Amino acid sequence: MRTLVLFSAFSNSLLSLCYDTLDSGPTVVVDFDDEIHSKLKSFGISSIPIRVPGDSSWAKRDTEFANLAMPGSLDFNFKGTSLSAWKVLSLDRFSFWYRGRQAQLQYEAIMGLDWERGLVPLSLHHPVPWRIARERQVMAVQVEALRTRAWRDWLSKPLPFTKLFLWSQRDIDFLKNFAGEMYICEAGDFPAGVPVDKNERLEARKMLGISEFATVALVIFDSQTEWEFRSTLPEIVQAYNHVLIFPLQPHDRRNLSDLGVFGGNIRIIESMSFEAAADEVITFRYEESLIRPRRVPIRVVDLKQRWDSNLLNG
Amino acid sequence: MGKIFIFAGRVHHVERLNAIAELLRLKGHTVTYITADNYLNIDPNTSHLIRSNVPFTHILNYLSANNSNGIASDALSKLGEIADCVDPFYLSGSVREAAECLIGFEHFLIQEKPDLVLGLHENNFWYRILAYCCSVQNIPCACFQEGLLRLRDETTQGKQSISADYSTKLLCWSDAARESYIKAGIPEEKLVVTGISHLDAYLQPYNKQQVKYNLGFDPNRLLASFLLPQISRYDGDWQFQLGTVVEWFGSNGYQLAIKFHPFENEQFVEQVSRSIYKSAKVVTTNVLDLIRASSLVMSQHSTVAIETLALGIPLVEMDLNNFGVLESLSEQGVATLIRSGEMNKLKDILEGKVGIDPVKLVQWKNQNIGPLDGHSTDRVVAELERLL
Repeated sequence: MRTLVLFSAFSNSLLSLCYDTLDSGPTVVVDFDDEIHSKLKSFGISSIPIRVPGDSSWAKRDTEFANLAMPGSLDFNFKGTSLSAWKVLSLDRFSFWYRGRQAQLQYEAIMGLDWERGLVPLSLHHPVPWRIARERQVMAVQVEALRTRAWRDWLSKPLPFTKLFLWSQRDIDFLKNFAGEMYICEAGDFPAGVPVDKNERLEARKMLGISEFATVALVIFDSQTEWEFRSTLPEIVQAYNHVLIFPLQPHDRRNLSDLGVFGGNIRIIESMSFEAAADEVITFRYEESLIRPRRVPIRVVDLKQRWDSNLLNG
Repeated sequence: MGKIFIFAGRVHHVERLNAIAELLRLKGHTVTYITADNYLNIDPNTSHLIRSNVPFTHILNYLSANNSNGIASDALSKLGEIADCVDPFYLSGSVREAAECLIGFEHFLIQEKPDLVLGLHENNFWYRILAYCCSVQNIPCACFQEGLLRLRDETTQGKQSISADYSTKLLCWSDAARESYIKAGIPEEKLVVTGISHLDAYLQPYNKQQVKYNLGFDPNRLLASFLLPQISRYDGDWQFQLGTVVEWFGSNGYQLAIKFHPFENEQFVEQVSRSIYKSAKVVTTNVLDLIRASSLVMSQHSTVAIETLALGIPLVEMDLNNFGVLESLSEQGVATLIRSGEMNKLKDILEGKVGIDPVKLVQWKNQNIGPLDGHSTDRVVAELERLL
């Protein structure tokens, strides 16, 4: 049986299983991206680059999109309303991210190869693995945190994959109602944080000029939780001697600066390495990729539970 | 006096609607902005309001509990074929965002009981939901013409035909726009021609040298601006055309400002800016100030092209690949087309040696841009007060 390994995303977990597959029988490895292609090459894997042209005409792209999503398959109302889903979601949302002809050609190229069994990343960040899994026997490997609101929402029906290789029992528990065979594989991309020791804590505080006895919170600022951040910050500032704020991404840094949050006992930090100085890390939504690497206790302040934090943490 | 809320989820919503808000306040109405998250919030959704020191509220203040997942999971289970072409991450996030807006806006209207709600246009994600919620609760709501009405957008996606599904009124720029909307099926009674209200302040007399100076340019040298449409929609090879323009200006001694569409990625804009800083200045300033400071504007099929003509600045459509420009204004005789090998035409236009037939231009503006008397905001407010 020939196995296709699709690197629509790169991960160490997928790489590890790809090696196993290469050792066990005929395998064809493919990728969609030059960077991933080079990376695979550096690991001694020669993958087939699938490169397809983009849409040549915007008029054609818009027409195709309209056929597919205006209303196309979006011809239904939001539950309990008479508001058409397509009128809200199509023009000012899905059309931005519509991969158009490219996704179709990638799908066709893959289906045109000779393979019987597939191995793909278990990821929300590309539609093609999901599509091929609906038509052939395809296994998936965890490459990203699953306990997120996006994943939870996406789990409205059974996953199309025949087998899943996940990082932990906790991930298996999360998917238990939506998948069949599940196995634990090495979580090569996702190590848990090692607790901070006393000396490291003192050293980090010394660098920041913070006394050993002061209370310190480190707040992770990601723009998605801007409302929760603004609503909670005054309380946090009152409760701690020092508040360190870490903007997660470059755009978070810009947005934080635009909000004008600084001064007093607030300090913006450049690196999570200062986590060692904190008594507590505060975040505003449960997302495993933010939680798992933490080295000090973390508190999730999901004010209205709109991020489903309690459910995801259960 | 009325209690009025204006939806302002993005910076340009406030830029376009603030003059209306201010006039409504002057007349004694209470005007508050309402904003909402913008999925990943890569673009700011509150900081511009905080900086502008205007009263605002946030839809999440009205979301009482996590009751949006039922709507979200129901919609996600019905998406069908679109899931083959869009990353599930974006499908999932957008649907949840819509579900939160549906509940949040419903609660907001029940709690605040506004007399009138405004939004920039109904083809945006949030305001369509808000207008729907208003229609359910019988609250009048009004919106504005989205921008340049392209025939192609109507032909391919029917954009104009869904511009006022739930709004009580759609305030449009001109008679031509009104006709386009009627042709697209918008009921006549919803349409009112008011002109482009956000241009009023820019139609007043001004000192061009001062505006140039304020933007950091030499007030005594001629300035041209290249205002690109979204580069993903540029007709032709935008990199080649931008390179050619930068080179020409670098060797001809005129000042050049470049402004990318506000939706372009910030890091990308910075990267371009670094690569051409010696010959041109990439700016992120208010586009209308930049147009007024310029002696010539280069663009393509974009709302800025209309704004340029409205403000009386010569417009050039760039087509250096001889690709053709969508719904060209040059073909209508109100702009100059520059094709391959014609860059030197810019010199004559910049120095005022050649221009557009003024009679033709005035006729075109009357028909397509509407009144340019600086009183569009007054007409908008008068119309809104009739809805109260």
